Amino acid sequence: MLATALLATLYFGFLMAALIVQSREVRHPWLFLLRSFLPNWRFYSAPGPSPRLFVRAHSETGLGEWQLIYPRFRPKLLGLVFNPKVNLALAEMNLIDHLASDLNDCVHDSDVAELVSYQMVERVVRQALPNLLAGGRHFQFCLRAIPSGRLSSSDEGDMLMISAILDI
Amino acid sequence: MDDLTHICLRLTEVFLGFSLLVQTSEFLYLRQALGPDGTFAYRIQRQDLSHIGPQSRWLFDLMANETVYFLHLLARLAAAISLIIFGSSSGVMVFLFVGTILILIRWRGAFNGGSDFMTIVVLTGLLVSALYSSFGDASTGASTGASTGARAGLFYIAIHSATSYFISGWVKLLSADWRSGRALVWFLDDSVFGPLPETSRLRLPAIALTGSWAFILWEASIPLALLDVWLMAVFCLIGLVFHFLVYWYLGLNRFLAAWIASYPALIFTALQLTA
Repeated sequence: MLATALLATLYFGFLMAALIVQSREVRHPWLFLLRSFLPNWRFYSAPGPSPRLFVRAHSETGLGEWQLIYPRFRPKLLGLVFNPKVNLALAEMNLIDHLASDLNDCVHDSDVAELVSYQMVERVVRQALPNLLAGGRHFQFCLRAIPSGRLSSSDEGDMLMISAILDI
Repeated sequence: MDDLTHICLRLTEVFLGFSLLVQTSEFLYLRQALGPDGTFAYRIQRQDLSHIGPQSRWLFDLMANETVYFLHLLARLAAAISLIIFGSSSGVMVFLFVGTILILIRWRGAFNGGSDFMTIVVLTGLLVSALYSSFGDASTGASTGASTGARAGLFYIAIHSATSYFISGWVKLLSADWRSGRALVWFLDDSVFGPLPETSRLRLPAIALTGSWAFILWEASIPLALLDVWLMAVFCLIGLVFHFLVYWYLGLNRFLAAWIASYPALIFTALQLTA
């Protein structure tokens, strides 16, 4: 019993030390695709600026207001065992995080539109257009890092990316 | 295999089978998102696989075919039901393990974060158990081999589950925003089920502070629970409530079933450590 307690103390002590010591981030395409094997222990750990997606219409009269694209649902008890729409929305929000991360890694003169995450996020935007933009033949979207607790604000935080004006 | 190991292994199989049924039925519903006009269209996502060789890419191209993907999901439903009714076998576990990896790569590596991780952990534990049972040390006899494999698999699951709860608690403890209760309100406001109503009691600083510290202490206390089986039982009961709240406020339904599948292993490990 004493040996077990000692081993457990050593193991959990090592984990605590690993939390405090900053380690180098390792990246590889396979590591990204197999990241479900790697625990994300910092899930919901530290609030901070989050990348948020905004879209605006572009018509002959000019540019419209930026509108937030952010899924909202109501919880239902049945959702405990069948919740596909919410889970898809969460997966799409992860794409926005991936785009922000890819932008951070981009070299200065690279074409952002070639990023897989950009192309997928553009599809997220296109699917939201019918509900957000009435009329107009063109649109533009952007990514902003919005501080915690200020979700709906479109004029705060750093602009991470702004797209070209695209056809609807 | 002794009764305790057998019961814990069977419970793990049943809970994982249920978790896989939930996940697979949702994947069946979401096939349109992977179609040519969906967000995760393979034409786009295939660029993620540009670094792999043509043979491997052929496999991913095949698995991404809409008909093959549909049939794969149907076979996965059957395998999950088989896991619940008949328990794990090497064939079923290899199929579920490899299939999970292929499905997650199709969803760009992960679909639902922590629930994907814990599903793979439990699948790995049961895979170890099934393989050892089938191909383990023949000199010690089939029964001893099955028992050793089952114990190794359950310990593997328990170590990952305990580590995850422990670190999740400690990273929150190291954050001033969590310690003050502010982070809880921010995350609930940002949730797909948010924002909290202006009149919500969870916005009261005292309630947010109490809630935050309750979660932090509960998660970080798992090493103590490993040393007493009754404490572990209480830990798991609180876990049920915790994961229900995680669904109700954050929309993460898959976490409930995926993490409950690790609870028999936690109970088993606590019993072994105190025996």
